[in-house]
Amino acid sequence: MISPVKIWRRQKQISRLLGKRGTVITWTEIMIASQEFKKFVPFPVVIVKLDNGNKAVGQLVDYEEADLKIGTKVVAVLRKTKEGEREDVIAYGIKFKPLYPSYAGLQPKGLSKQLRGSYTRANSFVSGIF
Amino acid sequence: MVSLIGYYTTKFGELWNLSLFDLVSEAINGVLKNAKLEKKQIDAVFFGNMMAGVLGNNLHSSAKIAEILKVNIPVFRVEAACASGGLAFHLGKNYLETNRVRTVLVVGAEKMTDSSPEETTSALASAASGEEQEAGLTFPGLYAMIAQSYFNNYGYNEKNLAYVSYKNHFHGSLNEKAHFRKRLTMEQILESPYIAYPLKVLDSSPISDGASAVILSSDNFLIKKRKESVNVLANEVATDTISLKERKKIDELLATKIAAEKAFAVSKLKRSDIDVAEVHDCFSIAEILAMEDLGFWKKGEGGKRITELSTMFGSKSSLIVNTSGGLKAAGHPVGATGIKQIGEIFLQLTDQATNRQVKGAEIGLAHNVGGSGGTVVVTILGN
Amino acid sequence: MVGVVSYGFYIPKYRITVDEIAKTWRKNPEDVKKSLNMREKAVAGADEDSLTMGFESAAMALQETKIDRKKINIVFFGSETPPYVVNPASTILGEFLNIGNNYLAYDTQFACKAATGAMISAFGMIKSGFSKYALICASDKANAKPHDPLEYTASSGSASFLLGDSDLLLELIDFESFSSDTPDFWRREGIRYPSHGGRFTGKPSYFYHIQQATKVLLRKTKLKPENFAHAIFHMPNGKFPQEVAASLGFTKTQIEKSLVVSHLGNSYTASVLMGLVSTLESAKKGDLIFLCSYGSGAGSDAFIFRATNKIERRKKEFEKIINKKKNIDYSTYLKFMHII
Repeated sequence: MISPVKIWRRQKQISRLLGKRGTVITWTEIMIASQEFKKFVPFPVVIVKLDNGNKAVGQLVDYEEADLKIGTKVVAVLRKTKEGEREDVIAYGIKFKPLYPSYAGLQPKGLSKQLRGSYTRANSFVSGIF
Repeated sequence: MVSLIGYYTTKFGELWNLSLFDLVSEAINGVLKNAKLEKKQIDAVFFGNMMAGVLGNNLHSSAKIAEILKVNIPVFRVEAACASGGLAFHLGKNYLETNRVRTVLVVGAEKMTDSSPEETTSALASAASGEEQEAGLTFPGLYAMIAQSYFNNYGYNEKNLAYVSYKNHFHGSLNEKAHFRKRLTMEQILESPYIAYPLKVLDSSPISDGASAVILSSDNFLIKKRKESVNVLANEVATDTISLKERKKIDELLATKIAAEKAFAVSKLKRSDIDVAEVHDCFSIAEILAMEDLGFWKKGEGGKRITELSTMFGSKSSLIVNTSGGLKAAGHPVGATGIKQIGEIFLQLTDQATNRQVKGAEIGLAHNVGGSGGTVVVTILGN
Repeated sequence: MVGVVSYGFYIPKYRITVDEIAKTWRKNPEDVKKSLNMREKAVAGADEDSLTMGFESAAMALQETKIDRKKINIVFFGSETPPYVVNPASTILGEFLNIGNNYLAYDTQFACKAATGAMISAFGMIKSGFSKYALICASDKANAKPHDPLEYTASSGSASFLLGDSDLLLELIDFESFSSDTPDFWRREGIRYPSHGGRFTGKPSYFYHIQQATKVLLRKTKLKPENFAHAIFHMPNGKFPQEVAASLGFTKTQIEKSLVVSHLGNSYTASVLMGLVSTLESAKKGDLIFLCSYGSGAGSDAFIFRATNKIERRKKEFEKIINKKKNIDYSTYLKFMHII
């Protein structure tokens, strides 16, 4: 059983990282995992240098192959981390998502000024308010 | 001056018939025989082991060993992930130097094949930080990230790594105690499946059982009696962050650099004085980084230098590395490795390395790493 | 005056087409697409659930506002697929959003209208002065039994609304709630997939309740369908909202912008609110907007909103964002939904 107390303590660290942006400084793709992560294999894990200088480690999600490289810009999002037993408290934690998924291209050009403003705000809602 | 006066290792491999303490017994009895000593001449035992608690629910090994040996002497268990053996040796040597005792026995052992690969992978991951474990990282995953960073900084790729496995498997074929005795081709290595990109199965040391033991003494009478003995010229320990992300540089083991600097300073030796070395190749990338961080190769040159295979047995060069087969081919029963490395140098320096004897080896170095570089022990032996 | 201060939404990256599902069950995809008037739905990843999605939409709703989060004294979470049956997701949400501790939280359930019902309660509490703001989060990772027709429509998504009494972009003009005991769609405790009464979910259920709630509200406010710039009705599929709109006298143009079900599916509690988010992208100052939800079991909440002058600057881009998507196959869908 995953300790509910450990999850509760970790919760506070999670909110500090949510929404923070950074750059991938190294990565790997796990093909053989330990028991609790078997279900999600294969999955990439990245070390990120956050814009505020700190470093963080976590899985990369919602990515395209082209994002698996050093230098990809990412943002920290909330996801379930461990599977656990059906009766366990759910472990939520930080994972990273590429900020501008390559398949959609870069920020759209030619949008009217007001819509571009709201697009930026909506798509990058995680501009560090946390 | 502390000297090594005996060494014994069990075979490393999948030893189904032997429990952890069967292995410990074999190693202790073997080394006593090798040093021609009786157990009543041992003043203390240091035991290096990582996972007996997590995998076997076995702790309090001090009492277990006292039971096996039927003694009442002090016994100390030491843990520092894969550097458990090296650290046990360090503490044993220091115990000898600070107490008025004559001999200390250091034994390292690990039993890994009683558990499923998933259980073992999880147990090994306890050497990583909580956050790393939460992210689903495995040990191969951590070293894979180190490899990616190294490739990115110096322009190397997986092919450079394969030379390490190729060399060490050749050495393993010469070592009757090694887990793997077969040579490998470069194609076999490069075609093996990935376990954590870009590291493949054949870039990684295996899951093995085994135990190795040495006897240390500071008693001149005992040392002179032995034909084969070697002085411990230096034995230094350094630590670094457990988290890979907190390291100053991801593709460098700072603890190796610090421990090596200290060891060479204390022994007043130069890198070029080392004839044989056992370095910690838990993954092929680790050997390349070790050669750089220990100061044998310039930073960033490792990927290229390894392709020359100058450190392979049979080459004319002045430094041969991992004649035991390294962790890769000899096997990596975690707690035993640090002792086996020191023991292999002992064999080389006392002309006992049989078909893999490096001629004229006089000074050797052993390098043992815990986790992804959180603890490093560097030992220099010679006469 | 009470109303909406800001809003947010989250649609996961992945889509599965009607074709892909129909192929598995050897059905003609064109038949299915025609009868449901939809072509694909959104699917959340294996590591997403109603709480992680709810966090994303709520974070978006709170991001631009300069309000003091400690003044949000109400957090309601409406879902049919909450992460726990006992343990509120609303407080997990509050914790991750740094709302502090001085708030009332609870999770609500009333099938697809869990969140709109909570909005009504919240409006009442704001009007009474209990709280200056209320955060309402609707979120579902809707599940359906394989081979059941629900499989084509049950989707993932979340929408959050920050309600308040000032600086509004939508003013609440009036509302009405209509309730009855009508077992058209249900899920027992401990049972994984919902069950439904087939065609019983139509006339006596969806249509009856929406029609009644709408008629009562229009009568009460003395307004007619033609007074409205936009209308949004709950979307269990692409056909029902069009039919109910027509039956009440609303035109195709009025509901056009809201019909997200055709490419996002029915995200249950978030469905009608997602229709509102889509509609707001084109809303103008002064627009009257009619919204009516439907929750099986059964009931409807009808609302009339008026867009203020703040709408122009604060509306959020929707279509471009939801078009950043990736199609998956049926086996990946089953893995994401933890069916295999």
